[in-house]
Amino acid sequence: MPMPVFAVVGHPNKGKSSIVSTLTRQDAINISEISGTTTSSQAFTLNIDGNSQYSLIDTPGFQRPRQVLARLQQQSPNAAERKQVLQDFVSQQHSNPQSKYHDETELLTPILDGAGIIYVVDGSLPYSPEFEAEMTILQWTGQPRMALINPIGGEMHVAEWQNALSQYFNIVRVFDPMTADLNKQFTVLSAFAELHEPWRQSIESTLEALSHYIKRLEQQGALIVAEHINQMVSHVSEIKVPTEFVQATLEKTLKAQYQQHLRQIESSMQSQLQALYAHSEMQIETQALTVDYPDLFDSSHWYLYGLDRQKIVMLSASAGAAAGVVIDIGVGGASLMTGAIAGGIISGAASLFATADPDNLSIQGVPLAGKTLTAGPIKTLSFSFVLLGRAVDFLDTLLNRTHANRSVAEINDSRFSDRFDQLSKPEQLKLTQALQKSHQGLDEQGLLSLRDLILQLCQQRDVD
Amino acid sequence: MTSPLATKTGLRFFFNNGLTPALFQWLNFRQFVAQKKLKLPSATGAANQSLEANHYLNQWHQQQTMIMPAPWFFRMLILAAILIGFGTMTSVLNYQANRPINIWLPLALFAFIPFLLTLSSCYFSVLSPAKQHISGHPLLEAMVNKLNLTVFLPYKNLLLPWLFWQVQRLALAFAIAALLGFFILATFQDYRFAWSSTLITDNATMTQLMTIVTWPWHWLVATPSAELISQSRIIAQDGTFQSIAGESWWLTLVMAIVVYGILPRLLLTWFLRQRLVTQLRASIEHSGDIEQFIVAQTHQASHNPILSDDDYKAPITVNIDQVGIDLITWQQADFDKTIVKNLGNADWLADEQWLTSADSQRAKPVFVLVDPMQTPTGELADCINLLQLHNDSVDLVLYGQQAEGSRYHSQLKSWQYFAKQHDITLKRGR
Repeated sequence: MPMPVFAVVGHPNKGKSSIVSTLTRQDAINISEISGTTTSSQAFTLNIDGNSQYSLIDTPGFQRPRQVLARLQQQSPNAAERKQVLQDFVSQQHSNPQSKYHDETELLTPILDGAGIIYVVDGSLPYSPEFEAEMTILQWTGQPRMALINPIGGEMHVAEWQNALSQYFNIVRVFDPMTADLNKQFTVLSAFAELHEPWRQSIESTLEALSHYIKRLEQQGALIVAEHINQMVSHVSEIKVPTEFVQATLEKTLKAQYQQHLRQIESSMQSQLQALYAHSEMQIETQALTVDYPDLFDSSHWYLYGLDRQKIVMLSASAGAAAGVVIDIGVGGASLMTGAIAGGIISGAASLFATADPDNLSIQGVPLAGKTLTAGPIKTLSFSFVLLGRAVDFLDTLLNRTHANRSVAEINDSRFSDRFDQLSKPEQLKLTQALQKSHQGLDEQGLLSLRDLILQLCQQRDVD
Repeated sequence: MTSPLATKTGLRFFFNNGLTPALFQWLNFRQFVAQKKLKLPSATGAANQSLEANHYLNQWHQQQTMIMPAPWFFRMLILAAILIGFGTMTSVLNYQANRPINIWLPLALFAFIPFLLTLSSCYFSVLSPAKQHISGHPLLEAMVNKLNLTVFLPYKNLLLPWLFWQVQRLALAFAIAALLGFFILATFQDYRFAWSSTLITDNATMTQLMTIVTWPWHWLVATPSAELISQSRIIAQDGTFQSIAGESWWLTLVMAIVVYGILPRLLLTWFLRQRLVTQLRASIEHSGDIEQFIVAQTHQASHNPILSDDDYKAPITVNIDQVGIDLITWQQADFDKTIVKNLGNADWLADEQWLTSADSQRAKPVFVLVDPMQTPTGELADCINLLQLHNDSVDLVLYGQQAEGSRYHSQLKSWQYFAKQHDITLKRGR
């Protein structure tokens, strides 16, 4: 099946690159506010799972359409000869590196090579006859063509454009690449299918694949959020306090370390989401995550020889049990493992008692034991919701952002409570329970359940 | 919904060489994806080609240095488990040279304690809420450190099930080696089993106990009879033993080892392996890492885009109503002031004819008026060039109603860029 190829052409600075960017899900296409910065044609491809679906060729704008048309008309070709005349003109310009028709040559070449035409105009500016030269040239190519009216600054002149364009183009659609949601993108892609019969099947299968792909990305994005929330909420930072007088300093260090770690996890989540949705160039403006919840910090744990108390007691009990087993073997097993059990209990209890006051444990004045300050896991539900709110807002921004949009994305969690309120009561309860559990670490099933709830949260905004 | 292509390819790619390589290839891949530089150097320029996910994954595999647990480490551990199993069985069978072996000892070491440990493993690896934590498992922690797997701790949902599985394999190796050790030693030596107890004083209790212990295989191997139990009891009396041969015990011992020591362990090992396979498949299918990777490989950027330096001076403002100026408009047929000519709307040849005619030679300076919302084109530049051939002063003047807002500012930049490119003086009209 041939891959459909479309050349996106038009006057300079009418949003051609934006349309290519949105419809191929590529965010690194140069979109300039300055006219005339695209000087050569470049094909961009929509890929799904590595397979190219169709190509859109970003082209320079028409610079001298009336001059080109005048030169073409000088030969007074009939309808059957026009395409050949155009081809001769382009060949001639190719052989002349100094040609002033460089931009026209660049934009016409892919069309003459078989690409369909997507002609882009600005629906916020009035139609005027100077565009007729461009449309006439495109008509001469004889290629399947459609027009997209891009309402860059409003839709004031859309009707006027529709009347004019329908005389030259098989299909005319209004399409704003900056704001078009998936439905609108699908509408335009469906129009591609109508444009040229041999491409219909290919475009239709692309639409189906794209629909599944988007759905899959939504689920995967929500799972990335769930995994990172789980990591953040269950994360524990520890720092040992060898002597009491450094505790205050170490508390600050711990807080900084803990905060830094949570920020790293959040940043990793954002990068992965951006990579997944092909928004790796997106700039973000967000308030840095601050950890200012006293409940997160705990100084009750302590250490000895680098081990915590629980481990020491366990190890002592194991050692006692091992000694008891020797006795059991010695009596030919007649003791029914009483030795092992008793050894374990006695040894464990002894170490429990010996480590009751760790501050007094020292060898020649060198402290062996002391406090371990810990931060996390997050048991404060409100903080878990803050983390989730920020993550969901970020995910939602990506889900609703077109690839042509180059504005700085502002992320905050202020809309979270609205989303949460719109969940049903059982869903609210499930989400709360999932966050409560996540400080212990969620298993695969728990993560999938949290993923589904995150998707629900994102869909609440879509309903708005 | 059928599995998407990338997932199918991913599953095929990662499950190519068995479960452990699959897991660690996947963890390496996840770690690679979690870094921010996803694009492989060789993928540059291939973005618009239709390449399958497998192609990119193979490229990654060739270029990536994998962190894998050293295979020799686990071979050594399994060998050690086999030796310990065999050695323990040898010790148990031979620790009292010519005396009958107290059946309790091998039963405890190879059946009951392993069974309890299997139940405990089952709890810690399957049921305990702490199964997601590495802390509290000193053995697992030691293995992670020894195998240099700490980099994979963020993926403990996969790493821990693998470690649990490996530990069970070691325990299974111990139990099987012990059983084989028994058969090997029993083939070449005659071992006698008996039983002894301080607390169990009558044979009936022992018979009852044995009935319970041997219940799982009573349909296959007969439970030790009351007579056998009675005959095989050893009683300490003045430092001597009344020893009675009890050859039939060995079948009970073997069955106990198999039923309590090996089968539950085997089932747990199988379950943990299956759980790992399921979780690994789910991770490959749901994580989105393959998609992230492929998106990065097919990511395209514009070639050599022209970037504006934004270093423009604001155009000076001029009065277009002043006397002594000739006004020419660009594509503004309905302009409401007196103009010399409107260019750009008619046929190019007509414009060109006028521009090369004497009519375009003006005595006064010329302002070419454009609406800021219009787009600068090469044709406008050509017209200004032709005017400059016959006129000393030709300026491009932005004149229009929509003179504010962000769009105006970006249009202004376009005009400034255009004026700089074509060496034209740009002014703003009022």
